[in-house]
Amino acid sequence: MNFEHATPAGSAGADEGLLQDEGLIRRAKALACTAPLHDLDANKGMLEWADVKVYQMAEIALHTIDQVAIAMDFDTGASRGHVLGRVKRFVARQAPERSDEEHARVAGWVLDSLINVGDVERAFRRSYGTVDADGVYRVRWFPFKLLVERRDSAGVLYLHASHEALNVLVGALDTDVESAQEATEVKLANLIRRGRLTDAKQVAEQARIRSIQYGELIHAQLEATRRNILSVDWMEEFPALLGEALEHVQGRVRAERAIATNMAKARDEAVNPVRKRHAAELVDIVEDCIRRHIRLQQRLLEARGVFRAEQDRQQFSLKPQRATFDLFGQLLRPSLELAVTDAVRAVDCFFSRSTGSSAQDLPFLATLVPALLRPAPEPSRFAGQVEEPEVELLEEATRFTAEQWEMAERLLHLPGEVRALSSLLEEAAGLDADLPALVALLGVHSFSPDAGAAQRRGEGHVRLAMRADATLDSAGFAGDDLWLTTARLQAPSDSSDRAGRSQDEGAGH
Amino acid sequence: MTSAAGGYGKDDAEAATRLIGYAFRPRLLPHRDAEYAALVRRFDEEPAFEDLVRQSATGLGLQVLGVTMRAGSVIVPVPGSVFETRLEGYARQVRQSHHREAERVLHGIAHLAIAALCFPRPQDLVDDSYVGAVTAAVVDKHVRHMCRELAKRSAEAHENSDTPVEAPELERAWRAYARRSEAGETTSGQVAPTTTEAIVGKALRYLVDKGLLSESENLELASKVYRTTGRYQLQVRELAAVEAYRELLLLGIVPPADSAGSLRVISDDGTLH
Repeated sequence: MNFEHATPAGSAGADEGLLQDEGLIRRAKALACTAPLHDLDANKGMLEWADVKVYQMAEIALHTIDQVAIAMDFDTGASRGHVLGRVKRFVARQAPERSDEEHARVAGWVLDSLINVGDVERAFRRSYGTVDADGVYRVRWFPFKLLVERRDSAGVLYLHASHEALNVLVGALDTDVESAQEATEVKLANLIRRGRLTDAKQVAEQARIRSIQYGELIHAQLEATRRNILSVDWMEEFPALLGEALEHVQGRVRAERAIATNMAKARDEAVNPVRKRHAAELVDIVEDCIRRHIRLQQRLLEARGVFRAEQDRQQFSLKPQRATFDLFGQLLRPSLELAVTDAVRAVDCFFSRSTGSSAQDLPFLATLVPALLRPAPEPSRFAGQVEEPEVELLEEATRFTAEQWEMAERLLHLPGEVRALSSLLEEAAGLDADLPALVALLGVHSFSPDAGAAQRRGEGHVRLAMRADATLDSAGFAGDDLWLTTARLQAPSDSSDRAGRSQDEGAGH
Repeated sequence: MTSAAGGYGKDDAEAATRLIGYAFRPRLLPHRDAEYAALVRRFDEEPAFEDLVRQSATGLGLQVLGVTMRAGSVIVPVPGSVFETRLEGYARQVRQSHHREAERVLHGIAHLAIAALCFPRPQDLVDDSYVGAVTAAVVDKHVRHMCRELAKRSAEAHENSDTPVEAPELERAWRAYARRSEAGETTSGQVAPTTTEAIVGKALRYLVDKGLLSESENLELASKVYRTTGRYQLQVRELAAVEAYRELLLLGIVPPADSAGSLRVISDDGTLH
């Protein structure tokens, strides 16, 4: 129940004299994990798109890993955009005078370097030497990753920090998670008593990263239970582990609640604004820890239910009538354990037998040779004759053109004068054959003007029409003649009433 | 079926080879094609016709696994046959020569894992009416989980699983798989072909093309779900698992025969023990 597989122990064998090597291997590997960060600073001079010497790449890398680790949860981590957005602000602090674009590019470069996108396996590789059982010094590869991309259940890529990255980040390369957590708690309480809040924040952040690590491991165990009930020892090992973990979580929640309460008090009582802010940040972090622990606890409580459900499904159903294979335990697992050279034979055999026959395309010589010998078609310079498009004219959608509208508006703009519709129509007819119709419509429309609406729209004028005691017969329109004028709008109450309330019918159509 | 002289009728050879021909069109099923269904029925009812089909198949380098209404005509190549596809041809696009073997293993592991997840328990493999379902993400997660378990066991045994620099081919398969990225995109937003996600995805699509799995869109999971066909179950159960198991035995590996699944070894002449 620790993270040993992240830094596997060396092969010291039974020889006691070689046991010291284990510590050396561990340290060599720990050192290797920091190498990519050193490389960032060493290689930054090679970047051609900007002079990036002002940036401290290793610091940016550490910050990037921090951001990813903090966003990591049971199922999801941080999206690339989210991390880059945060790291960009950090980069900007190092060189505020540089452009925003450059900051983003530096952040992106560091992130890609931490994923090692240039490598086929997206991993880093460092060699180290060990003395093997025969006493021969042998150089071996230590492959590791810092950040990896994964896909969540919705198919979106997210970033995930590896165990190596977490260990490098937390700086506890060779410690037991359990005891380290305890030590952290003690240190935290101590710091709070002494009022060293800046340090306390750092410790709280470490505690949070520890919690994330712990949660991940328990999650993996529960997943295993769900998949294959026989792969987990439900008689002794796992129930004991669950009980232990549950107790641990309860203890942490209690401790963190107490810390959060104390810190909230410190925050409220603090006078120094910097200190107040640190305390507030610490409260946030501790509350986040509590939330994580409560989620972890829920999973722990569900665990036995998962076991019972899976037992019903996997164990209490009918036994096979015929003997057959357990593909998983008898084929997949042994194959994975084999060395690559040996495994290839077994999996190749499985592949070719399980996929069945395939009909391959066989070339026929009599058609293949002419096809190969045929000269490549010369691309012609011209694309051939352009077909004359048949254009269908669209019906004019609007009855009057913009010019006609403009002319009508100009005719009907009558500030301070009154004209008869008949004279306007005649004038319009002289300008444009279609214009009288528009003028007549506008004239009729202004018979009952909505002065209130015009005022709300902020217009200064409104067109008015009044019945003239004469008959209209000009430009093809007949009916009652109208007097038209343009009235200025002043106050909400006047000017609109006279025309607006008129009951008379308009003329002209 | 047989003429008065004791030989075969003049149309029988054509019918037999037509049934073999159907084996090469795995997406066509007997209940969708009346002629196919008639041939399957004839194979079932006339022993002489069955013999003719088997002999014709043997001559072509093929082996009749089964001819049923559910699975259709399942006739597969014998080792070394021209109809055989090997991993070498399947994972051909791999360019890095020093990684070629590891790359092939990853593709093979993906196929094995798909089968193992389609039929998680031995009784599922035996049950003819069982239809397994997997998604690409589940397959990858499962193998990774297995890799983690093996890593844990290796760490507990204090084995140094790091590979010697001069002999990279001695690396364990689980390490090669675990180290490979599970997801990633190229700069153009495509799924990076070297990730395990892409490797599993390729295997699933290949099996769909071969008519061994059927795919459907699951809106709830927002991913494609692949279901097994009778043909796939038959090929895995009757041939692939048996042969791969024997291959492991030849390598000196004795896979565990635990209570959940028992083993069965088939000798060269095809009889069961």
